[in-house]
Amino acid sequence: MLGLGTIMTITNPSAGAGWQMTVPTGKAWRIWGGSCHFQSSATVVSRFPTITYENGTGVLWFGSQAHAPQANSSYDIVYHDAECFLTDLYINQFIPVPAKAIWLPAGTNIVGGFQSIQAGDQVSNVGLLVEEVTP
Amino acid sequence: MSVDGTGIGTIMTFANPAAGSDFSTTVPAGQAWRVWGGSCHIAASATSTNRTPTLYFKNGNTYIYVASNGQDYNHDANQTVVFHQQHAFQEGPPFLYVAGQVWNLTNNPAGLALNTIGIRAIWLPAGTIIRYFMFNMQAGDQMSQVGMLVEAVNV
Repeated sequence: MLGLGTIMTITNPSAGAGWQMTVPTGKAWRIWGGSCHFQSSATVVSRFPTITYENGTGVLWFGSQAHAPQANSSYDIVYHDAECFLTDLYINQFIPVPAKAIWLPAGTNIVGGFQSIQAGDQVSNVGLLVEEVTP
Repeated sequence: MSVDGTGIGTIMTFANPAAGSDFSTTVPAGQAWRVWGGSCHIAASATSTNRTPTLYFKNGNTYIYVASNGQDYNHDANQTVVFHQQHAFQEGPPFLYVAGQVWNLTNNPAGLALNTIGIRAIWLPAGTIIRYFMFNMQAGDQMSQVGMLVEAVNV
Protein backbone atom coordinates (compact mmCIF):
# COMPACT_ATOMS: atom_id res chain seq x y z
CA MET A 1 0.00 0.00 0.00
CA LEU A 2 1.33 3.40 -0.88
CA GLY A 3 1.46 5.93 1.86
CA LEU A 4 1.91 9.59 2.46
CA GLY A 5 5.34 10.93 3.25
CA THR A 6 6.64 11.73 6.69
CA ILE A 7 9.47 14.07 7.56
CA MET A 8 12.20 12.02 9.24
CA THR A 9 14.81 13.91 11.24
CA ILE A 10 17.85 12.89 13.27
CA THR A 11 19.98 14.57 15.90
CA ASN A 12 22.87 16.60 14.58
CA PRO A 13 26.02 14.56 13.94
CA SER A 14 29.26 15.42 15.68
CA ALA A 15 31.45 18.09 14.16
CA GLY A 16 33.51 16.67 11.34
CA ALA A 17 31.05 13.88 10.53
CA GLY A 18 28.36 13.32 7.93
CA TRP A 19 24.91 11.95 8.68
CA GLN A 20 23.25 8.56 8.36
CA MET A 21 19.77 7.08 8.56
CA THR A 22 18.87 3.39 8.26
CA VAL A 23 15.65 1.87 6.95
CA PRO A 24 14.14 0.12 10.01
CA THR A 25 13.55 -3.62 10.26
CA GLY A 26 10.26 -4.61 8.64
CA LYS A 27 9.97 -1.42 6.60
CA ALA A 28 10.77 -0.15 3.12
CA TRP A 29 11.42 3.48 2.29
CA ARG A 30 11.12 5.70 -0.72
CA ILE A 31 12.90 9.02 -0.31
CA TRP A 32 11.22 11.93 -2.05
CA GLY A 33 13.52 14.71 -0.98
CA GLY A 34 15.42 16.16 1.90
CA SER A 35 18.18 18.41 3.04
CA CYS A 36 20.79 19.19 5.63
CA HIS A 37 22.58 22.33 6.64
CA PHE A 38 26.34 22.50 6.28
CA GLN A 39 28.65 24.98 7.97
CA SER A 40 32.22 24.69 6.73
CA SER A 41 35.18 25.60 8.89
CA ALA A 42 37.96 27.96 7.83
CA THR A 43 40.09 25.14 6.43
CA VAL A 44 40.41 25.49 2.67
CA VAL A 45 39.85 22.15 0.95
CA SER A 46 37.50 20.68 -1.66
CA ARG A 47 34.52 19.20 0.19
CA PHE A 48 32.19 17.49 -2.24
CA PRO A 49 28.74 16.69 -0.77
CA THR A 50 27.58 13.16 -1.51
CA ILE A 51 24.67 10.87 -0.76
CA THR A 52 24.96 7.10 -0.81
CA TYR A 53 22.48 4.26 -0.45
CA GLU A 54 24.35 1.18 0.76
CA ASN A 55 23.53 -2.04 2.52
CA GLY A 56 26.76 -2.80 4.33
CA THR A 57 28.21 -4.89 1.52
CA GLY A 58 27.87 -2.66 -1.50
CA VAL A 59 26.73 0.66 -2.84
CA LEU A 60 23.17 0.70 -4.22
CA TRP A 61 23.20 4.26 -5.44
CA PHE A 62 25.55 7.23 -5.24
CA GLY A 63 25.22 10.89 -6.06
CA SER A 64 27.57 13.82 -5.65
CA GLN A 65 27.71 17.52 -6.15
CA ALA A 66 30.37 18.65 -8.59
CA HIS A 67 30.79 21.99 -6.87
CA ALA A 68 32.66 22.07 -3.56
CA PRO A 69 31.37 24.39 -0.82
CA GLN A 70 33.74 27.16 0.08
CA ALA A 71 35.53 27.41 3.39
CA ASN A 72 33.88 29.27 6.26
CA SER A 73 30.51 29.28 4.53
CA SER A 74 26.97 28.19 5.23
CA TYR A 75 24.98 26.02 2.82
CA ASP A 76 21.81 24.02 2.62
CA ILE A 77 22.48 20.73 0.85
CA VAL A 78 19.28 19.57 -0.88
CA TYR A 79 18.47 16.10 -2.23
CA HIS A 80 15.59 15.54 -4.62
CA ASP A 81 14.65 14.13 -7.98
CA ALA A 82 16.86 15.64 -10.64
CA GLU A 83 14.63 15.66 -13.68
CA CYS A 84 13.50 19.22 -13.32
CA PHE A 85 16.61 20.81 -11.96
CA LEU A 86 18.43 23.64 -13.66
CA THR A 87 20.18 26.06 -11.39
CA ASP A 88 19.69 27.06 -7.83
CA LEU A 89 21.06 30.33 -6.59
CA TYR A 90 19.14 30.20 -3.37
CA ILE A 91 20.21 26.94 -1.79
CA ASN A 92 23.63 26.70 -3.39
CA GLN A 93 24.08 22.92 -3.32
CA PHE A 94 21.96 20.20 -4.85
CA ILE A 95 22.35 16.43 -5.28
CA PRO A 96 19.91 14.33 -7.32
CA VAL A 97 18.27 11.24 -5.87
CA PRO A 98 16.10 8.76 -7.81
CA ALA A 99 12.91 9.25 -5.83
CA LYS A 100 10.42 7.47 -8.04
CA ALA A 101 12.44 4.41 -8.86
CA ILE A 102 13.83 2.93 -5.69
CA TRP A 103 12.14 1.28 -2.74
CA LEU A 104 14.91 0.85 -0.22
CA PRO A 105 14.71 -2.37 1.81
CA ALA A 106 15.21 -2.67 5.56
CA GLY A 107 18.81 -2.27 6.61
CA THR A 108 19.69 0.13 3.84
CA ASN A 109 21.86 2.95 5.07
CA ILE A 110 21.30 6.42 3.66
CA VAL A 111 24.55 8.26 4.15
CA GLY A 112 25.03 11.96 3.64
CA GLY A 113 28.76 12.48 3.37
CA PHE A 114 31.33 15.04 2.39
CA GLN A 115 34.52 14.08 0.69
CA SER A 116 37.37 15.61 2.71
CA ILE A 117 35.11 16.80 5.51
CA GLN A 118 37.10 18.71 8.11
CA ALA A 119 37.10 18.37 11.87
CA GLY A 120 35.51 21.77 12.32
CA ASP A 121 32.73 21.32 9.76
CA GLN A 122 29.23 20.95 11.18
CA VAL A 123 26.22 19.20 9.65
CA SER A 124 22.80 19.97 11.15
CA ASN A 125 19.06 20.04 10.44
CA VAL A 126 19.06 16.70 8.65
CA GLY A 127 15.61 15.78 7.34
CA LEU A 128 14.12 13.54 4.67
CA LEU A 129 10.61 13.23 3.28
CA VAL A 130 10.17 9.46 3.47
CA GLU A 131 7.34 7.26 2.22
CA GLU A 132 7.36 4.23 4.51
CA VAL A 133 5.53 0.95 4.02
CA THR A 134 5.44 -2.38 5.82
CA PRO A 135 6.10 -4.96 3.08
CA MET B 1 -4.48 3.81 2.73
CA SER B 2 -3.60 4.13 -0.92
CA VAL B 3 -3.30 7.72 -2.00
CA ASP B 4 -1.85 7.26 -5.45
CA GLY B 5 -4.04 9.18 -7.86
CA THR B 6 -6.87 9.92 -5.47
CA GLY B 7 -8.51 13.29 -5.33
CA ILE B 8 -9.51 15.76 -8.01
CA GLY B 9 -7.51 18.90 -8.44
CA THR B 10 -8.76 22.24 -7.21
CA ILE B 11 -7.66 25.63 -8.46
CA MET B 12 -6.57 27.62 -5.47
CA THR B 13 -6.11 31.35 -5.79
CA PHE B 14 -4.41 33.68 -3.38
CA ALA B 15 -4.40 37.34 -2.48
CA ASN B 16 -1.69 39.42 -4.09
CA PRO B 17 1.42 39.78 -1.94
CA ALA B 18 2.57 43.27 -1.04
CA ALA B 19 4.99 44.91 -3.46
CA GLY B 20 8.46 43.49 -2.99
CA SER B 21 7.10 40.40 -1.27
CA ASP B 22 6.89 36.87 -2.59
CA PHE B 23 4.23 34.20 -2.39
CA SER B 24 3.99 31.43 0.13
CA THR B 25 1.27 29.19 1.47
CA THR B 26 1.23 26.25 3.88
CA VAL B 27 -0.39 22.83 3.64
CA PRO B 28 -3.07 22.95 6.35
CA ALA B 29 -3.22 20.64 9.35
CA GLY B 30 -5.04 17.39 8.59
CA GLN B 31 -4.31 17.49 4.86
CA ALA B 32 -1.71 16.46 2.33
CA TRP B 33 -1.27 18.27 -0.98
CA ARG B 34 0.14 17.49 -4.38
CA VAL B 35 0.86 20.60 -6.45
CA TRP B 36 0.50 19.82 -10.14
CA GLY B 37 1.06 23.28 -11.52
CA GLY B 38 0.47 26.97 -11.11
CA SER B 39 1.41 30.42 -12.21
CA CYS B 40 1.69 34.04 -11.20
CA HIS B 41 2.28 37.36 -12.85
CA ILE B 42 5.35 39.45 -12.10
CA ALA B 43 5.67 43.14 -12.83
CA ALA B 44 9.31 43.99 -12.24
CA SER B 45 10.17 47.54 -11.28
CA ALA B 46 12.70 49.55 -13.26
CA THR B 47 15.54 48.53 -10.96
CA SER B 48 18.15 46.65 -12.96
CA THR B 49 19.21 43.36 -11.39
CA ASN B 50 19.24 39.64 -12.11
CA ARG B 51 16.04 38.19 -10.69
CA THR B 52 15.98 34.40 -10.67
CA PRO B 53 12.56 32.77 -10.19
CA THR B 54 12.76 30.02 -7.58
CA LEU B 55 10.30 27.65 -5.94
CA TYR B 56 10.68 25.43 -2.94
CA PHE B 57 8.76 23.01 -0.72
CA LYS B 58 10.01 23.16 2.88
CA ASN B 59 8.77 21.47 6.03
CA GLY B 60 10.37 22.69 9.24
CA ASN B 61 14.07 22.83 8.51
CA THR B 62 13.83 20.27 5.71
CA TYR B 63 13.85 21.31 2.09
CA ILE B 64 11.83 18.72 0.15
CA TYR B 65 12.24 20.25 -3.27
CA VAL B 66 13.96 23.31 -4.69
CA ALA B 67 14.15 24.48 -8.29
CA SER B 68 15.09 27.65 -10.07
CA ASN B 69 14.70 28.77 -13.61
CA GLY B 70 18.07 28.75 -15.34
CA GLN B 71 17.35 32.04 -17.05
CA ASP B 72 17.85 35.18 -15.02
CA TYR B 73 15.00 37.59 -15.30
CA ASN B 74 17.28 40.45 -16.20
CA HIS B 75 15.84 43.92 -16.33
CA ASP B 76 17.98 45.91 -18.68
CA ALA B 77 19.63 48.91 -17.10
CA ASN B 78 18.38 51.17 -19.88
CA GLN B 79 14.76 50.30 -19.31
CA THR B 80 12.72 52.71 -17.29
CA VAL B 81 9.43 50.92 -17.64
CA VAL B 82 7.81 48.14 -15.71
CA PHE B 83 8.65 44.74 -17.14
CA HIS B 84 5.80 42.21 -17.19
CA GLN B 85 6.18 38.46 -17.27
CA GLN B 86 4.00 35.44 -16.68
CA HIS B 87 5.59 32.75 -14.53
CA ALA B 88 4.50 29.14 -14.44
CA PHE B 89 5.53 26.01 -12.58
CA GLN B 90 4.34 22.54 -13.45
CA GLU B 91 5.07 18.84 -13.10
CA GLY B 92 7.68 17.95 -15.67
CA PRO B 93 10.75 19.49 -17.21
CA PRO B 94 11.31 23.24 -17.41
CA PHE B 95 11.02 25.22 -20.58
CA LEU B 96 13.00 28.32 -19.71
CA TYR B 97 11.65 31.27 -21.61
CA VAL B 98 8.90 30.79 -24.13
CA ALA B 99 9.35 33.65 -26.56
CA GLY B 100 6.63 35.52 -28.36
CA GLN B 101 3.65 34.27 -26.42
CA VAL B 102 0.76 36.65 -25.95
CA TRP B 103 0.89 36.88 -22.21
CA ASN B 104 1.01 40.32 -20.64
CA LEU B 105 3.49 41.88 -22.97
CA THR B 106 2.93 45.53 -22.14
CA ASN B 107 6.24 47.37 -22.36
CA ASN B 108 8.12 44.17 -23.08
CA PRO B 109 10.41 45.04 -25.96
CA ALA B 110 12.22 41.73 -25.90
CA GLY B 111 9.03 39.80 -26.53
CA LEU B 112 9.90 37.30 -23.79
CA ALA B 113 6.89 36.34 -21.83
CA LEU B 114 6.68 32.99 -20.12
CA ASN B 115 9.16 31.79 -17.54
CA THR B 116 8.67 28.25 -16.25
CA ILE B 117 10.03 26.01 -13.51
CA GLY B 118 9.66 22.23 -13.46
CA ILE B 119 8.40 20.73 -10.22
CA ARG B 120 7.71 17.25 -8.89
CA ALA B 121 4.18 16.38 -7.80
CA ILE B 122 5.19 15.07 -4.39
CA TRP B 123 2.68 14.44 -1.62
CA LEU B 124 3.44 17.24 0.79
CA PRO B 125 2.59 16.67 4.45
CA ALA B 126 0.78 19.22 6.59
CA GLY B 127 2.94 22.15 7.56
CA THR B 128 4.90 22.16 4.32
CA ILE B 129 5.53 25.66 3.00
CA ILE B 130 5.18 26.24 -0.74
CA ARG B 131 7.11 29.36 -1.61
CA TYR B 132 7.60 31.02 -4.98
CA PHE B 133 9.96 33.95 -5.07
CA MET B 134 12.64 35.69 -7.07
CA PHE B 135 16.25 35.75 -6.04
CA ASN B 136 17.11 39.48 -5.88
CA MET B 137 13.49 40.54 -5.81
CA GLN B 138 13.23 44.32 -5.56
CA ALA B 139 11.04 46.47 -3.34
CA GLY B 140 9.00 47.72 -6.28
CA ASP B 141 8.38 44.33 -7.87
CA GLN B 142 4.76 43.21 -7.79
CA MET B 143 3.55 39.63 -7.81
CA SER B 144 -0.11 38.97 -8.59
CA GLN B 145 -2.62 36.42 -9.95
CA VAL B 146 -1.15 33.55 -7.96
CA GLY B 147 -2.96 30.28 -8.59
CA MET B 148 -2.20 26.59 -8.20
CA LEU B 149 -3.78 23.32 -9.24
CA VAL B 150 -3.72 21.33 -6.00
CA GLU B 151 -4.80 17.77 -5.24
CA ALA B 152 -5.71 17.71 -1.56
CA VAL B 153 -6.61 14.75 0.64
CA ASN B 154 -7.64 14.58 4.28
CA VAL B 155 -5.32 12.43 6.36
